[in-house]
Amino acid sequence: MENLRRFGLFVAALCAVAGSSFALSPGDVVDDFRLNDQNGQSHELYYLSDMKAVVLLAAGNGCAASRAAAKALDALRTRYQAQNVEFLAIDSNLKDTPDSIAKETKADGTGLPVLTDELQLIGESLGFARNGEVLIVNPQNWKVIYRGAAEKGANHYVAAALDATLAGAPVKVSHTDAAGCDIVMPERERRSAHAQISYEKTIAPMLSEHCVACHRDGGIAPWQMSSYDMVRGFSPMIREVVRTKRMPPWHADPHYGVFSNDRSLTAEETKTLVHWIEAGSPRGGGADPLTAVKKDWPVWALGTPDLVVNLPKFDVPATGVIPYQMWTVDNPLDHDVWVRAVDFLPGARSNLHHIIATIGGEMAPGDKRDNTDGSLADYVPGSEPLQIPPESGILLKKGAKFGFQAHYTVNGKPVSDVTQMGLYFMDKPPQYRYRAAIMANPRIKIPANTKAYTNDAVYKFDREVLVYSLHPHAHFRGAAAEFVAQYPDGHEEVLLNVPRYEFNWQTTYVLKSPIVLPAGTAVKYSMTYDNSTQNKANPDPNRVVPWGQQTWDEMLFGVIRFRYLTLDANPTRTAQASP
Amino acid sequence: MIRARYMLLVMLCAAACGVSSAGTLAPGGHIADFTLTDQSGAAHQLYALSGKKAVVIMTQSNGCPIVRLAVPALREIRERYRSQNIEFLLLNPTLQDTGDAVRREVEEFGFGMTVLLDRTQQVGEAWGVKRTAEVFVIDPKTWTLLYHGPIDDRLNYESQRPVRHPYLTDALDALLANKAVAVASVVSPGCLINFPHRKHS
Repeated sequence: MENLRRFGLFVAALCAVAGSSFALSPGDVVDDFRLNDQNGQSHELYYLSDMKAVVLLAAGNGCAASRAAAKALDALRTRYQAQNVEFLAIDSNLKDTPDSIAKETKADGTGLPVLTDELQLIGESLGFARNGEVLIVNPQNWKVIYRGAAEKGANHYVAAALDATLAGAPVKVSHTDAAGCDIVMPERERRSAHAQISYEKTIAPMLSEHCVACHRDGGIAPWQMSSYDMVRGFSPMIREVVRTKRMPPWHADPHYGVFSNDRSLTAEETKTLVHWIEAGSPRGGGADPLTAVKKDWPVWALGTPDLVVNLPKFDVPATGVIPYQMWTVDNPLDHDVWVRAVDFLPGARSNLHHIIATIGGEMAPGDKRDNTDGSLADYVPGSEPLQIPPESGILLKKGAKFGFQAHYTVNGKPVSDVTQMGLYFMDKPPQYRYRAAIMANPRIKIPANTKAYTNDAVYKFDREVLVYSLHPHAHFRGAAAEFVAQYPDGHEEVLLNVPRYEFNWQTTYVLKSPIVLPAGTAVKYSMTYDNSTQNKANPDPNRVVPWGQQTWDEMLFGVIRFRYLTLDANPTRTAQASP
Repeated sequence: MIRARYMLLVMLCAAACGVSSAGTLAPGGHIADFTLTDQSGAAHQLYALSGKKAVVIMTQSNGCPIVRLAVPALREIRERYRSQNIEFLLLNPTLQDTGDAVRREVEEFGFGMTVLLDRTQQVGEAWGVKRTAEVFVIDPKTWTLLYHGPIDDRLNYESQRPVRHPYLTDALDALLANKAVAVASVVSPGCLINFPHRKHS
């Protein structure tokens, strides 16, 4: 009897180990994730599939064990980097910020990028308990091949594990105890509470608010969040796209700027959603709001437009890569008007990925036109109509031509698209013109087989301006973008950081509070390109890539929408003509 | 006795924790027989295909863009190997897709292929399926797995590029030439499928 009881306890203990799904041991698979480092650069684990090994260190400010391990790994990094081993630190400590981490690494003189895991979701799933702990992952199958201390006395565990892996041999010592500073992870102890997160009251409303505009019948998303069953079926995928920051499609670094069209989940929402999924996506009680709510999607969000412009019909094939479509369409009006708002009504919402609309065609460097004119509006899935602040407007002259760049994606079946653009006019001329500053560098030559190549363009404002929005643009090889203001007094400010530029989502980042840039401010717009095989969208990494309108070529092209701060004496005159 | 007790322990644990003990199928591994119905309600027994030179099965779920873009490529390969006596099937091991829903997806996207419905997930779990668009190439002479991975390296999340490695046709060509499959296992992009009874990762 006593034996049986002990046996029962043993089974229970064994189950506790096997059932604790998130303590990663050697042999377990590490799920993909994407995090920014202390300098605002993005790192994705599975991007490193061309590496022989990836060494991850749990790091924390002010922890001696973490500092010692970082020093040891930094030394190994010099030795093993040439052999395709990547070294990354992950800081999952709630008290540490990108700034404080940057200060600490600078003081320590270590070169490891430190990924900031501010939501602790990655640290939790890696089972990090102590700063100073090391995980080694094999990118061939993403399995853990070592977990424990960096070294202990004369035992160089990490070096031994790397030597074995590089020689194609099994790792002899795959698990050691790591001494270090405990990482405070409040949610780790609350796994049972996560099973109580309400689908009805918390999860479904969150999805309705942030996702259903696209994940609905007739939306661009490939599947519909139409019931609990659908959400549960896609739960692991939802967790992955949230952890890798693919969804919601918002790519700005939250540490710089506040944007009115921010599509991201809040930190709290992200944690709740991932924890709910990790608890098994429990249904709980209550109604299913996703089946109950049938939202009536308005045809035109702002009401009937003053002018509807039909774009040309386009037949989208079932599969393949489609070049950007460039169209010119006549303006049918016989008089000048001022535009206050622009909206788009896609014909094939599931295939139309973006439209960039201009008056007179996209501005190119060297263009003789006033280059603060020309931009009109753009469309990306899920975007709101462009509503220009009341005191400004865009002048649409009679006889002008509309230019459109349309980007379609394939989804497995052929469809036809006729998209409409709706324009809304002002009753009387505005006080200010809504202008666009184009920043471009047509001389780019992106070297072949290069993971990161950065180039930039600068625009200097001669007059004091109020900036409304920022728009980075590149093609398949675009990887990261940044807008930095260089003020006349010499100090710099990051206006927008896009650590992971995603060409599929041509987002305009609209500042929640427009910012004033004094006369003489230069804005440096930089784009980093990934012309390597690791860029899964890259059609040809062996090519030196020049400037070009099509996606297989590249553009270094940024747009700032602004108005002058002082009244335009005559807003119908162009900027070049005015003093 | 010790062995029996150990087995009991494993079974108890599996039952108590809801952890599937399966899911570690690797190239060279054995494929057990199964019978599943398709989207039209017709039954299909795997081992009834013993006269084929190869059985190619790709995982599918409704609403997954990578599958929708992969099926036309799979159909092209089926066409190219038409004279070679190879069977091409899709397998839907999801909890959420009913037969009706799968039939609608097949019609809407013109799949033109048979989809086996694995609604209890027993095949998906036994094979260690993680994602959609994973291809399994099976040798019906021995019922062993020859290749597990994507059709090729064209598709990724929200992107595609020219094919560099046609893994599936390489595997089929090797099989038809009585040679070993050189690349037998490749990590596949696709939509993660929820297997609630399987241990995480």
